[in-house]
Amino acid sequence: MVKTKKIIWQFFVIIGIAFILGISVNYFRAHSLSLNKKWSVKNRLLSELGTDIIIDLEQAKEFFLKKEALFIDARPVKDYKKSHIKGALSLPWDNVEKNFMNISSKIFQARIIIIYCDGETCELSHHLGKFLKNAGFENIKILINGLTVWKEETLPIEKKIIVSS
Amino acid sequence: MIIDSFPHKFFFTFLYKITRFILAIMFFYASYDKILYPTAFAKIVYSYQILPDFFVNITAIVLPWLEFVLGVFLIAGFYIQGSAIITNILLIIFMGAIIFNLSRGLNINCGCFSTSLNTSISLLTILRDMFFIFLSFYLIYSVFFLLPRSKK
Repeated sequence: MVKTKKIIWQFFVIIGIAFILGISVNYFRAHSLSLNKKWSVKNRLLSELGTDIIIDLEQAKEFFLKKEALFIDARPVKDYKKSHIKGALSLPWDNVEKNFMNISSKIFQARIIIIYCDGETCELSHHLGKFLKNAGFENIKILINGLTVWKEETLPIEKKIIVSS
Repeated sequence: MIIDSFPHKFFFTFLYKITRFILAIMFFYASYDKILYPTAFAKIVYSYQILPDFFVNITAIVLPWLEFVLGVFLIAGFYIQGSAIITNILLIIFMGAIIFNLSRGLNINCGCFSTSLNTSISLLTILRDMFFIFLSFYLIYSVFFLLPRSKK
C-alpha cells in the first residue's frame, strides 16, 4: 500500500515538473505558443494567406461542371496516377519548380485555379497555393481534403495521365 | 534465486543500467528538437488528428519536457518506479497513435525524433517503437521484480 502511494506520488511529481518546465519556458521564450490557438485548417490558411482562399465543394463542383476551373493535384505523381479529379493536372509539390514549367501555359490561361490534395491536414495544397500566390496568381483556391470530398460526392475522377502540350 | 548468484546479479544490474541509459538517450534526443520548435511540433500533434484542438498546444508544450525530465530521472535513477511507468505509458501511446494513423491511411510526419517534414510514419517506425517498448518492459521488470528481490 505504501509502495503504491509512493509510485502514484512519483508519477504526478514527474508530470508536474514537466508541466511547470514546459509552461514556464513557453511563457518566457520569444515566440511563445498560445495555449488556446484555433487549430482548424481554415483558420490557419486564413491567417497565413490573408484573403479567403478556401473554396467549398459546392462552388468547386459548379466551376467543374461549367468547365471554368483548372484543377491542380498537389500530391506526388504516384498518387496522381492512382486517381485524380477528372481533368486535373499534376503539379507535385516535391518538385514544384521543375514541374511548374511543364504546365505553366495552362495555368496562365486558367480563369480560376483549384488546388487540392487529400486528407484533412494535407499541407501540399497549402504550400502550392502559397507558392502560386507569391508567384503572382490571384485566382487561386484551395479545396481542403479535395480528393476525399470529391469522391464522397461521387463526382468524376479518372486515372488517365494528362500530358500538357 | 538465480539472480542472487554473483555473475547473474552483476549481469542483470548491468543490463538494467544499460536499458536506463538507452531509454534516457532516446528521450533526450526526442525532446531536443521539439523543445526548440514547439510550433512545428504542435502542427505535427495536430496532424495526428487524435487530440481535440484544445489539447494540441498544451501537449506540444509539455510532452517534450516530460521526455526531457524522464531522460534526467532515468539517468539519475531517481524516482525510478514512476519514471518506468510513465516511460511505458508514453511509448505505448506513441505506438498506438502511429498504428491508428497508419491503419487509416493518413500520410503524416512522425514527429518522433524531429519536427522536420521528411519523416513520415511507416512500418519501420513501428519496429523502432517496438524495440523501445521492449526495453521499457525490461525496465519495468527490473524495477518491480528483479531489484526488490536482489535487495533481500
